[in-house]
Amino acid sequence: MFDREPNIDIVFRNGLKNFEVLPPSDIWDEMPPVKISRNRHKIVYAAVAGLALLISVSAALTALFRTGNDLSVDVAANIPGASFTGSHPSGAAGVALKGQEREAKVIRHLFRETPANVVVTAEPSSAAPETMTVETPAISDRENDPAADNRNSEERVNLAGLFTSHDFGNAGSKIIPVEVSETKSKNSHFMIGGSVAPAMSIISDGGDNETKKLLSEENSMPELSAGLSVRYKISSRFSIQTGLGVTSLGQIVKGIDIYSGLSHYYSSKGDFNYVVQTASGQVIASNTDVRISDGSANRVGSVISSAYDPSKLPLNYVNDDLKQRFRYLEVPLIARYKLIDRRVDMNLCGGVSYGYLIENVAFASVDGNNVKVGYTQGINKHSISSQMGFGMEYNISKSVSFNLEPMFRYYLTPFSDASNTINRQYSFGIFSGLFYRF
Amino acid sequence: MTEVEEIIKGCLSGSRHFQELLYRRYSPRFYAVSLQYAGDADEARDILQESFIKIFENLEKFNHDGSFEGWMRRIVVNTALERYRNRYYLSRVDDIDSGEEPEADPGTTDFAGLEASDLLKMIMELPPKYRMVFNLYAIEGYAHREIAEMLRISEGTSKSNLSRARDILQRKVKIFTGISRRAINV
Repeated sequence: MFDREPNIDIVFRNGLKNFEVLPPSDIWDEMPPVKISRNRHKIVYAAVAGLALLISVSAALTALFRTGNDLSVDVAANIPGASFTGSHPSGAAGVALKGQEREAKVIRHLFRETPANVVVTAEPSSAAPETMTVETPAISDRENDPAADNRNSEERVNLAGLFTSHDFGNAGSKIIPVEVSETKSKNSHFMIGGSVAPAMSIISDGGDNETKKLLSEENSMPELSAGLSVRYKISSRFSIQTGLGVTSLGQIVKGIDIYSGLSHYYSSKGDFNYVVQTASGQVIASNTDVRISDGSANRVGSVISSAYDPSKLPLNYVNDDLKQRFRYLEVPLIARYKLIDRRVDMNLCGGVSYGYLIENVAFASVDGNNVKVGYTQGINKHSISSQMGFGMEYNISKSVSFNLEPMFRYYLTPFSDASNTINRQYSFGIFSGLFYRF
Repeated sequence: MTEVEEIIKGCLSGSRHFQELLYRRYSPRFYAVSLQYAGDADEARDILQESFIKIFENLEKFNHDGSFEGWMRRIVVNTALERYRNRYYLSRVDDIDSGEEPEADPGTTDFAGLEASDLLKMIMELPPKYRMVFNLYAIEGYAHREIAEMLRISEGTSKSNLSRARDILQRKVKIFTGISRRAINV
């Protein structure tokens, strides 16, 4: 089969290449059925995202239906001698209102033209349509009843019908100024708000000397993170929060000279001309118009033939910093515990967050403009991070509060797939924002 | 979509039928690899079975960037290594750190008449520690530094074991070809 070979390694390598041996037939028969586990991470991501979505939707729906439920409308119109009794003139069952807010408007409208001294409370409407009933005792009767001002049950108007004020014939034509006050429920369970944070990220070297060396010539780049949140109060001290946000992480690679205008002189033969080794992974310079050089650290590789020297070309100098930006769309799920319940609340908060990479760009800046260089290879599309922080919540009013939350974040999933940068990121940000309680 | 891609897709859907198709297609090649690392048929059988279970379980992680067969082969080799480490790690002996990689005597052996099955048999007959290093270095193309990490030995030991494996194989080849030549002359 073989002639004389110079190296026994090659003989065995070539001799066994594509060599096949039929295995015993019972191996397959004895192999247990393998249930394909779809990527477990994806399931976790999907579960977290689904849960967050569910909470968000529930919050939104509950908020929608709660708008009228906690609404009390006190109407005080002192019209001596006036009494009011009425019913829907049609005598028919009312039509169910679609929104409680509409119901409240009807109540206000009704009593502007109703000469009565009444207190009207809009009760939560049931799903089934109800007949409108109005039972309002005359003033004389009320004077005999000392508890009359405090009660509201006998003057309750259940409105489920759609009607207008002129349906009440004896109401009189004088438009009565009314005082309407709406009080929020003391037990607001939901809060919605937005927050922003300047954040700094830190890449760990993972004990890898090469990464450590690369990191010595890199700095974190401050980036802004922002998001919208919905918070649900489970008890007086404990609440959970979710939402949707955008988190940015940035890194500056120093000492990388970047020039533009290469495409005028050199026609690229591939998708890129240069690669730059960074602690986050290899930057592929997909912009073939740039020339990249590295004077000291020998981190830049080029696919341009060594016979061609672009350094002699009259290119435009851009910058000596290469910047990397990684932007994630995030769905956090955060639990918070109120340590101090005062005008300024103190909270301990922590949770997890799922992030999906939406931007991965490497660029250089010149005069406030960014010149895209390329992208970083091997950055994980999905991330799960844990976060912990201490929050201060200043209650500006009963409904609005201002939040200030220093948060520390640790990425549970590796930041990059690059073989020599099995590293994780940390980040620190101070979130501030406003929340509205409802 | 190629046939292999269809099989992969079928496997990903959890179809036992497609799993069997994949197994039938690649098991002869990987059984040969398993034998190469195992030294005996029973161990090779276990390696093959364990490897295919891992292949099916991790199929979703194959990112289609490189060769599918190469990806599967790595799983087979890693499975063999894992089993080797579990079996032989505690009993390893003569961890000699020579530091030098002695070259095999080149060009003095007549390889005429050697079949792949003969080569496989010779590798299988090597002591496990020599066999592993020879396979990883000569067949798979790993460097001594990588082999040292995989087998948890020093680079020197890896080089030394490779040298011994080569010596043994040279002798076996000489004996074999001598016998073959005599048989032909007869």
